[in-house]
Amino acid sequence: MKTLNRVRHLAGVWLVGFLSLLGTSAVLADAGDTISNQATINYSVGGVPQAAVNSDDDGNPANGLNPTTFVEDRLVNFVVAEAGVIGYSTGAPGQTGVALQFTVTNTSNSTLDFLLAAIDTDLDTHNGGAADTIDANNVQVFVESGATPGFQPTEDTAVFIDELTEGNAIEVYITGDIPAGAVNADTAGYALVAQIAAGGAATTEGAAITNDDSGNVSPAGTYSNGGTVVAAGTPNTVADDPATVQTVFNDPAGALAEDTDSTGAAQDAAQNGQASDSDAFQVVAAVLSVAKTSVVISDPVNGTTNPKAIPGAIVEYTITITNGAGASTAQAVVVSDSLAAEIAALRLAYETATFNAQGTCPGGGAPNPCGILVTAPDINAGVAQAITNTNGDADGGDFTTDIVSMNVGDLDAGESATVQFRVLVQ
Amino acid sequence: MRLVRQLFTVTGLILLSAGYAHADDIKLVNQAFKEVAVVNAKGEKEFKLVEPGTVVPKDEILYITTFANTGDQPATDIVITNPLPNNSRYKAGSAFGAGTEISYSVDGGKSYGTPETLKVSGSAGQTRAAGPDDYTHIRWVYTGELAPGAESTVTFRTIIK
Repeated sequence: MKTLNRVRHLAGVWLVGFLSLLGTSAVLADAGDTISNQATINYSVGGVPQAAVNSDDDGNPANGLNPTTFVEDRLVNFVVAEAGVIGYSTGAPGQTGVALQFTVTNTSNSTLDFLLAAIDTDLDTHNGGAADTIDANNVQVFVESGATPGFQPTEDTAVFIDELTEGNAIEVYITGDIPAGAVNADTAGYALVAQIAAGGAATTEGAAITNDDSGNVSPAGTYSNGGTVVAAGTPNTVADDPATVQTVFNDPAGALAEDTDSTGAAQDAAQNGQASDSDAFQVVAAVLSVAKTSVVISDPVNGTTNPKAIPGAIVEYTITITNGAGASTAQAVVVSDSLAAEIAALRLAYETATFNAQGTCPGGGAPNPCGILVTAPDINAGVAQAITNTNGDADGGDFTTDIVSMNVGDLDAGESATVQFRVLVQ
Repeated sequence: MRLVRQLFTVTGLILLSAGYAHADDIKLVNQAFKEVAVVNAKGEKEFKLVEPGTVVPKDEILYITTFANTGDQPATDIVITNPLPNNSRYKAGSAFGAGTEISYSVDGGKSYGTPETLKVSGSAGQTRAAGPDDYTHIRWVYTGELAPGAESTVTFRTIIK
């Protein structure tokens, strides 16, 4: 029986939970609602029942037996939180429109507008609040339109939150361009500050509400990508009045020093009509390194046994290109190595036929000898490939104007490619 | 069971008595208060009842209903009924009244019972035990006699949704 009761109880809890999920906005009483109550008493005198009497609010029946009423006031409460990728949002040098994602949740008992500001904190919240290293360019704030998830420059163009109903949340983006000169691991820290504003007029940016009725004020700020400048609030203390809707700021303080208020100069305080959270861009650049080695393959005197770099010797050069761990993919990497000076001075000549037997030379050798051997992740599935040194053909390698040139394709983080060719010592 | 029968009796008596009003004999005053913490002159925190001027969700409201016999005869069979206010939920266990039997309704005041006996319909035609959120009315049955000039109070608390 006990078990049965427990099952019933759980079912009840589940039902209540489900209903409250469906009706989140309906559960909260709205600011401005009048809450009314009237009690009734039945009694007898001398054993004879008397007519029921309704309660009065002030004990003075002369002005009518009135219900006991008061008006529900406006409680301003909302949260700004990093969303989407929790941690750095990454971009390559020169990349435009990189977005930091946040949600703004209205937990007030009233529909509100929110003004938005991206504050350059110069602090990297994902590195313990240490100083960041760069600033992003063209930093702006936009609100998700709801059409396509994620930041879409053509769709998400609103610069303030319009008519966010109680209990609901919306995505907001801080977007910025990564400077072309940024290097791998550079960071740029920003905070999103939301400031409450009057709701009630759809598609219209409500006026900022910069004070409540309990002496709390908002600091000054610039919102809507510079379009709206708001002065600091002036304290307003109004005596409690059961008959009017009053405003009470109850927003939380920023959790960290870099969760600043709209001035950017201080950590967001509680009960100031603002809420804040911080995030940071991180630059992920390609980090290419190049190494070149040479080895003597043979000479006319010793053959391949301990060959020396004497005239007539064949020397093999190996160029290794590596993209660093954690770097972004380097695309269409072209390796080129000029031997023009050496060849002009008659010290070297290309040795073009020697890779014919290696890695399947497409031309099969003469008259299109394979003079370059390439090993790259995107070429021949990573297996060494001998290719022709003819200019302008599809393989991307040539010896034009005495420069060895080879397109090794894309290199992801940690990948490397080698380009090998041989020369004859004159 | 006995309680239910008693309730029916009271309803019947009210119907019979229609037309014999002596409303001036009893005064019923209902007041709403909010409890706020204040620091007194000694720097100690104390709670004070104030008018519900600033009321926001999750605030607790204390209702004090005072009934006084202003007539010259003792009043008996006193029953005070108070519907739960809109936008409010009953705070479990908060109803109080000296010398009263307290019961609750979950059907808009048609029937009353003690918390352990009340049921509401759940999903798929099943019933489940009612909780404080289901209450629609509170009723205090005053078991004694209220002498002329005497007064007493019943109270309960709500939480603003």
